[in-house]
Amino acid sequence: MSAQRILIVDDNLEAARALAVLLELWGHEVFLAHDGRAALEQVRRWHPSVVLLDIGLPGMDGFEVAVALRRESGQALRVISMSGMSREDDFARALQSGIDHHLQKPVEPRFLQSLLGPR
Amino acid sequence: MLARLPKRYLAILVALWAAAAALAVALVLAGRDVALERAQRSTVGYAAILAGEIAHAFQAVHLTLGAVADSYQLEGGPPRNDAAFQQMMLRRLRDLPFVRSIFLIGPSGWLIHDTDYPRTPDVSLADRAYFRLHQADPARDRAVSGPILSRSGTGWFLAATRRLGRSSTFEGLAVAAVQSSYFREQFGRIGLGASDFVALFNHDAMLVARHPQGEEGIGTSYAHIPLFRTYLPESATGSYFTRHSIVPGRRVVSYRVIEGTPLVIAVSRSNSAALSEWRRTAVGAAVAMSALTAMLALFVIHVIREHAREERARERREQADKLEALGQLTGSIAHDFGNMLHVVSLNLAVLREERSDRHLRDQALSVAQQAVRRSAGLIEHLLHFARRRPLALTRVDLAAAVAATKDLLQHAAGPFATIEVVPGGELPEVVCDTNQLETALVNLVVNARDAMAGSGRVVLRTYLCDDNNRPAVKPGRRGARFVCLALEDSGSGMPEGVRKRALEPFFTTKGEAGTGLGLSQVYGFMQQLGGSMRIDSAPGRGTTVHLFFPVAPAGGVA
Repeated sequence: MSAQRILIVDDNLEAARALAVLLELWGHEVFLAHDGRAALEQVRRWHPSVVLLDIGLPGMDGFEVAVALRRESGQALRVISMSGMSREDDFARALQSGIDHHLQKPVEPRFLQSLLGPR
Repeated sequence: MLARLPKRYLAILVALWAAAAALAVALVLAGRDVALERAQRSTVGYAAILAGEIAHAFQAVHLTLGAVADSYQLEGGPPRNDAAFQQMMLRRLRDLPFVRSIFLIGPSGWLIHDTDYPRTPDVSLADRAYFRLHQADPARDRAVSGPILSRSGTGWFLAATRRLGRSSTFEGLAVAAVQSSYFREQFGRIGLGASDFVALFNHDAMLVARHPQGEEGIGTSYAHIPLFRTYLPESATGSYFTRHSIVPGRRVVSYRVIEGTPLVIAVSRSNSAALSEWRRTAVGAAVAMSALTAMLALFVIHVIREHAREERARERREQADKLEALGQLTGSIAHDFGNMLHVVSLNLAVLREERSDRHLRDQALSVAQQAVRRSAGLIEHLLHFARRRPLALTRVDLAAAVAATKDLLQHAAGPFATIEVVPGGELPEVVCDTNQLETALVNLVVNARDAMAGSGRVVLRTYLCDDNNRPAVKPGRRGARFVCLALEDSGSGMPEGVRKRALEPFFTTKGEAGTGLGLSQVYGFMQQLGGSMRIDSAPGRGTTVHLFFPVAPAGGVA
């Protein structure tokens, strides 16, 4: 598994930290942001290859952040979204917002690991 | 369903209907009395007119007889059937269309002069009652007999008599035969109603003439009818209602003694004829009242149906609202549990990871446990909402209880918000459950903290309610006293729309972060206590929540 530069965007600090620890253990380089605005700044500054994006964010929600990210960084960036409560149309919305994968919380770590593997 | 009908409205309607019905019945009954009274007045009037006419006729007869008797006297008793004397009598007879003949009877009873001569044979009338009356009482000047059937076949007549001469010895009579048929014709001319009946009696109850129905009963005594048994002995004129007159059925009868004669005139009208017009009105009123009643019934049925329809629509709406709330709750729970399981799952993965060190593992364990505890808390929260636990009610000094929770509240408010408890002074004890009070206050303080974006001031005051600030209470509890706990924050306040819905279960302004159960729980708690709750708020002016606790009754706690 090749190391990735991963940005975690989640307003739930515990979830963000736990995910960061896990990803670092897997050997990735991890950055954190807790809302959409910070996420966009981090992307500009660190140019991550993957963004793990919570949907239920304060202010801009995850879908809006995804659209902005896509506009900013083009198709090279992989965007994986996570949601505590996915409605039926969330998967369609995720696709429209340019999200590569939409995951339902709790996220199965092994599945995430396989997703983060080489493309 | 009928419990929620606008009962008062229907009651007013029914009362109006009953009033209208009562009024209609009263008017109809009054109308009946008026109709009978009118019939009575009418018969009194007819009796007076007829009595006047008959009195007038007899006056004329007596004047004529007086003149004839005087002529007889002046001429010194002309010979029997003297032609000149008869011519004089015939002249006088022409002025009296109701008199069939005038004749003179000698002291022995033989006819001496007669307008009918020579058609009537030479007869003795000594046996006639009127002759005997005068013979027995020579001083008697005049009389009117009872009905007599003519011996010459000309029907019933009355004999009006006048004595001849002025001495104390009986010298004979002048007689006028007043025809019974004359009265009948007279009665027929004055425009009586079809059911009206006129009877002319003499003083000893013999029927002299009647209208209509010919000569039946003439010459018969009616001494048994109420006129003669009851009314005539009392008064010479009068009016009464009876079912016992000459004609069958209920009637109004008016009678009058005819002046200068021994005759009584009685005019009667049947009640049914008197009431015929009234009956049409009454039937009209009954029909109108029935129509009104039917319309009212249809209207009431319509209102009830309409109401039932609205009620069903309301129930459907409420059901839909409930489902929506349940959907929101489910979503919110799913979200919270999803997040917490996410944290647990990630931390478990950290634990499983070979590369993690002791410190990371300890931290992961601790965080996962916290997440599990918070999940348990959420469950507790839900269960609390699902089943209202019975309250543990005691008498509580509210100010003291609030002061005791200050540290806890400060904890809930976070480091950047200040909790201030204003001492309450001497207040009556209230009925409360201190544990639930604590929960309620924590809920309110957390709301205040969120409204103040973490920093600001929350002031708690306790005071006795006066009339300017008291909760709206149910009727029947107007005398209840309350201690108020006011919780004022320096937060953003709420717009009117939010304030109004703030107490609804599952209503939240905190998006996915809120359950919408906090305030509704506090509200439920205050309701259970028999108290109340009010929120004053406006955007930019902070929020004050008033909790009204009922003062504990003197003596024990319920």
